[in-house]
Amino acid sequence: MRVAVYGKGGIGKSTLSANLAAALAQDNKRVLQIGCDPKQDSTRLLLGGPHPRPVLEYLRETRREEQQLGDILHLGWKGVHCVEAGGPEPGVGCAGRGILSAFAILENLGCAWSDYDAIIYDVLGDVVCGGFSVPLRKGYAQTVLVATSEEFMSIYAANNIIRGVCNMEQGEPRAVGLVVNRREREGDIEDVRRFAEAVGAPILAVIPRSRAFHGAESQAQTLAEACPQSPEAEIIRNLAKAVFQAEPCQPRPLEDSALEELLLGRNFKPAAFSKMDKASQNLLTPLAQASLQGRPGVSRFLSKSLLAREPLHGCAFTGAVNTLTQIRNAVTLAHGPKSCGHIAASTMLSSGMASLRSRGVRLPEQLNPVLIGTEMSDDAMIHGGMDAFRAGLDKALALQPEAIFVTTTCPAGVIGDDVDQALPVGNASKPQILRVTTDGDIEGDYLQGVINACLEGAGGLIDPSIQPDDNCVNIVAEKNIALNAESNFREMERLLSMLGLRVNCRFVRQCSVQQLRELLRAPLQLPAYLDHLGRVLQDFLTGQFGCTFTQNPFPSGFHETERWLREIADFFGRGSLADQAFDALRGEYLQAIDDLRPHLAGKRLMLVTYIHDVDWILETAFDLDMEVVKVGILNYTQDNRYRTRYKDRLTVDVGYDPQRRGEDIMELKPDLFLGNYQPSGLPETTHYDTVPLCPNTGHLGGLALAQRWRRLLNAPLQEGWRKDEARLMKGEELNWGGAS
Amino acid sequence: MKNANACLPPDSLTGAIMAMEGIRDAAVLLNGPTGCKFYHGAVVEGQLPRESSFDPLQFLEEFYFGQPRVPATYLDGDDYVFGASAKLERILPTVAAKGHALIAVVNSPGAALIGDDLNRFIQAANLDIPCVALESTGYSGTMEEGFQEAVIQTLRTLKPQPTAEKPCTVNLLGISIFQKHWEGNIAELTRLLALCGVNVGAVVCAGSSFEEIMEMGNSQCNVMVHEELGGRIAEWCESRLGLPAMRPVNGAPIGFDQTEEWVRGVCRAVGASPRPAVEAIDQARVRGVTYIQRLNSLTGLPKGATFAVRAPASIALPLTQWLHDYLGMAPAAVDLTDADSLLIPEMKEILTRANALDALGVTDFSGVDMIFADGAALAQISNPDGMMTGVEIALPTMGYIDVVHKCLLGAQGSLHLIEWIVNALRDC
Repeated sequence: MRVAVYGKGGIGKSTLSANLAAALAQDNKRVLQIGCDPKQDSTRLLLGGPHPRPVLEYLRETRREEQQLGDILHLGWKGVHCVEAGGPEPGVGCAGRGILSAFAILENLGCAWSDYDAIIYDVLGDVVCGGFSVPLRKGYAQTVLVATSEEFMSIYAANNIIRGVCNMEQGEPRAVGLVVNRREREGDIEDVRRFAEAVGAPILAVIPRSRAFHGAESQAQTLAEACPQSPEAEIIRNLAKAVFQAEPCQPRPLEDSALEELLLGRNFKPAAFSKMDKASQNLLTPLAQASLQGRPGVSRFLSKSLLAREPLHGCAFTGAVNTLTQIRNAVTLAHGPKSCGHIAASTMLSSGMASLRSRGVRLPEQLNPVLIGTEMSDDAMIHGGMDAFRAGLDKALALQPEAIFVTTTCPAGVIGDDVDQALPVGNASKPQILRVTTDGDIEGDYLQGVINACLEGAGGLIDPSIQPDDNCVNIVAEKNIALNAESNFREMERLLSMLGLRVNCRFVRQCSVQQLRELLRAPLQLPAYLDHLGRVLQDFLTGQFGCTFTQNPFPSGFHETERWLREIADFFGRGSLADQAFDALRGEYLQAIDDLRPHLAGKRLMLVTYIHDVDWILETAFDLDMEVVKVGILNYTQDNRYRTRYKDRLTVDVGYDPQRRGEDIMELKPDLFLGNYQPSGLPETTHYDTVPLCPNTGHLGGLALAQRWRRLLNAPLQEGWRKDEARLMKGEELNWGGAS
Repeated sequence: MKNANACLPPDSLTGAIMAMEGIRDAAVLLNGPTGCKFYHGAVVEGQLPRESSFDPLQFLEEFYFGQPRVPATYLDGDDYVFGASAKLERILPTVAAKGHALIAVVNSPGAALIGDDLNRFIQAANLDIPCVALESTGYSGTMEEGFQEAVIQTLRTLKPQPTAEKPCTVNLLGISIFQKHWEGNIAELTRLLALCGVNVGAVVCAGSSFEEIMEMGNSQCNVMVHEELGGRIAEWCESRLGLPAMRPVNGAPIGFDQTEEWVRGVCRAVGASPRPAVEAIDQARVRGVTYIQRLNSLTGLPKGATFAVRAPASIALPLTQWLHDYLGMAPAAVDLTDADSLLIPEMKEILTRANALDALGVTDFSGVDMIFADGAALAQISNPDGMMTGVEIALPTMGYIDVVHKCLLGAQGSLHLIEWIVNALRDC
C-alpha cells in the first residue's frame, strides 16, 4: 500500500501520517514514511524528537560516490523507516524541485519500494506544482488521503487537492478518502459529509479534537506508543485498516461556485453526477496492477565533474543532444523552450560548419541535426508542458523514425513535467522510444549528458542476441565536437583495412539505429580515447554486454600506432598482416624523423596542457632528441587520470597552477612553450604554440606538429604585430565602425 | 525517414542577452547554468570583440569559466532547489570590479522559475554602477521580442531624460549585434547621414555606450532600420520620451532606391538636405552598373538568374524587390524567418509582380543560382557546388571573419551585393 497524505497547511497531516505509520508498524507491517515538506518534521514523532538529516541537505553536502541510502533512511519506532526530503529556506529556491530530486536520489540509491508493505508520503499543503504532485504520479501513491476539518477553507483546499488527483489520474483510478480532523470538540460536520457525497469520496475517519494527541506529541511520540489503549489510538488503527482496504474511486471536484453554494447552505444539486455515475454511487473499479517505479537504466555512471563536485561545464541536455543527433534514422525530441534547442543545435552546427569550412568534410548529422523542440511557452511553465510535449512527440512520430530519443531541459525539470507518463508503454513500440536522463543541467554537465545518451539512448538499442562476426570492430568514445574527429577516424579506418578489418559501428558517432542494434556483431571494441568517457563506456559495455576492449586507445605517434595495430592483430590472429603494415609505416616515420632531427635536436620544450595523455607529443620530442624541461597538466573537466610511459624521463606537474607559467619559463628557459591556447602576458623569451585538445592520430600524428615547430623556431621571437597588440592591451578603442 | 529541418532559431533569451551585450560598455551577468553561458559568451565576443586574448587561462576566476564575457552563476541541481543566493551575492561585486558602465542581471529560463529576487541582490550589493534586472526573458518568444523587451525594460529602469537637444541628430533603432555585418551597416548609414549633416546619437543596444544611450532623448528623432527589432522600442520612446520615429514602410535600406528613400525620410524628419547622400548613392550606382554591364554583355546575366532568400521580412522584402526590379533576377524561394511580419502583403505584391507568388514559404533551395541566407542554411545545402552561390546575410555564420567591414545596407551594401552576385554568376 502506498498512500499520500495531502491537506491544507496546519491541518495535521504530519501528525496523521506519523500515527498512521505507527499503527501499521504495530500491526507488523513494514512501513516507510517520507516527509515531503521542507519543514522536515514529518517523522519527528516516529524518531522520538530529533530531526533526521534531510535528503536534499545530504545531497548537497555529500560527494556522489559516497552517498549511501543508509545515511538518509532512518529507523524509527517499531522499525518504521523514516525519510525527510527537506527543502530550501522559505522564500528562496524551489521546494517542488526539491521533492523531485529527493525521490530521484532515493531510487538511484536503491530504495526498493517493493520492500515495504506500506509507504506513506506526507506532502506539503497542496498540489501547487509539479514537484508536489510527485507522489501522485504513476507508480507512487495508490491511495490519497485528504485531511480536512469542518472549516470552509480546509474543505476548499480538499477540493483543490481532489482536482489535482484527477489531473494526475493517467487512466488509473486511485482510492481517495477524506479524514476529518476536527477543530471543534462538538459541532456539525455535515458540511464535510455533503462535500464527500458531492465529490464522491468516502470519509474514512473522523478524528475528534483531543488532548491525547497533544500529550503524545509533547513526548515526541505517536498515540500507538504513548497511549495505545486510548480511543483515539483505536480510531487511527481503524483508519489504517480502512486505508489498507480502500478501493479505487473516481471523485470529481466541484467548481468553486458549486462548492460555495454547497457549503454556504444554498440548495445544491449534484448535477454533475447522474444516477449512473460511478462516483456518485461509489461504484468501484479495480485498481490496475501498479506500474513499474522509476525508469530502468537511469545512469549511475557519473561524469568527472559530478564525481568531484566541481562547477558544471555545460549541461547534460546539450551533451545528450549532441550525441543522440549523431544517430541516423532517429529523432531527438527536446522538451524545453526554444533557447535550449537553439544552443544545442548551434554547438553541433558550429563544429559542423568549421569542419566543412576548414577541412571540406561534410557532416550531415552536425549540419542538420534531426532535433525537434517542444517550444515550451510561458503558459507551459505555469500550467505544465505536457501538451507541448505530446505535440512534439506527434511531430517526431510523423517523421517515421526507427527510434526517438526523449531529452528534457532545466525548465521542464524544474516544473516537474513527467514525460514518461506520455510515452507508449512497453518495449515493443514502433519506433523504439528511449528516454535519456538530462533535465538540462539538473542531472549534470555536458559530459554527463554524453554518458547518459550513450548508455540510455544508444545503449538502449543494442540487441544482446546478435552474434559476433570475425572481420569487424567497433569504435567507441570518439569526440563529436572535435574538429579532427573525422580525419582521425579515416586514418584509423585506413590502418584497420591493412589488417583486413572493417568498422561495424561507431559508438556513438555517424551511426545508424540498425548499426547500434547490431553493435555486438563486432567482437572487439576500440576506444578512441581512454579518458573518463572512454573508461565509463568501457565499463558499461563490458559490464552490460561482456564486450572486449583493446587496452590502447587511438594511437598518435609511431610507437602507439605499432602497439595498437599489434594488439588488434593479435586478437584477430593476423600477425603477418601487421608485420607488413609496420614495415610500411616505420620507413615513412624514420625518414621524417631524420629530416627533422637536425633542426630540433637539443631544443628545450615546455608543455602546459589540459590533455592527460601527452605521450604522442613526448614521443615526437624524444625521437627528435629534444629536451622536455617540464610538463604541466591542468585540471580538466573531461579527464582526471594522467598517464605516461615516460615517467623516468621528465618532470611532470599534475594539477599545475597556470599562474606559475611565467616564473617557470624564466627559470627553465624553454625554446618552445606549448599550450592548448596561445597565452598572453608571458615572457617574450620563448616561442609559443598550441597543440590540439584531441591529437591527430596515426604514426605521423606528432610529426605534423614537429614540422611546424621547425618553422616556428626560425621565425622572430616577437612578431611585429605584437607591438600593436600592446596598444590594444592598453585599452585603445577597437575600431568598431559605429556611430561614435 | 523523412528529413527534418532542425535549424532551431534563437529565442527571446538570446535576444535579451544580445541587446544588453550590445551596449558597448555593459555586461550581462547570467543567473543560470554554464550551458546557457558558453554559447552566448562565445557569440557576443565574436560579434562585438572586447578582449585581445582567447586564452581560457586568462579568465580562470569564478563565474567566467575561461571566457571573457557573460559571467554566470553556474546553477546546478542544488541551486534549483535552494536558490542561488550565495553565488548572486558574490558575483555582483566581482563583475562590477571589471569597470563596466552597466550590469544587466539576466535570469536563464530555468532560473526564472525558481524566483530568486534579483533586485534584492542588486540593492544589497550597493554597487556604484547601475544594474538592470531581467527576471524573465520569456520562453520560446522570438529573438526580436526578447531583444526589444530587454531594451524597453532597461530604458524603463534607467529612465533616460533629455538634457540638451542636439539638432540634426538621430538615433538608430532596430539593429542588433546578432546580425551579420551589423558594424558595417551602421558605419554605412552613419556615413550617408553625415554627408547630409545628420549625426547619429545612439545606436540603441548595438555598439553604443551606456552614456550614449542615456543621452538618446537629446536626439531629434529615432530612425528605424529593422522594424522587427525596433518597432516596439520606437513606440515606447515616442510615448515616454516624446521622441518621434521615422519608420520606413518597405523594410530596411537595401538597394539603391530603398536607401535613397530612407535617407530622404531621415532628412525630412530633421530638416536636412538629402542631396549629398543622393549624389553618393548615384556614384555608387555608376560603379555598380559598370560591373553589371560587363557581366550582362558576356552572359546576359544577372537577368533571369534565380535566387532564394531566407531572412526576416525587413531584409527579404527590399532585397527581393531590388534583385527582381533592379537586376532582373527571378525569385525561386522566399523563406521568411518572421512569418508573422506585417510586411507580408508587400512581399506578396512583389512576388505577384514577378509572377512568383508560389516562391513564398519555399524552404528547399536546391538548384537555385544565388542563395542569400544564414550560414546554417547555406551549409545544409547538400550540393557542394551550391556553396559557391551562397551569400551569408544572417547568423549563424559559416565562420568567415570580416576584418574589413562589409555591409548589406546603404549604397555600399548595394555594391557589396553586386560584387557577390557578379563573382558568383560570371562563370555560370
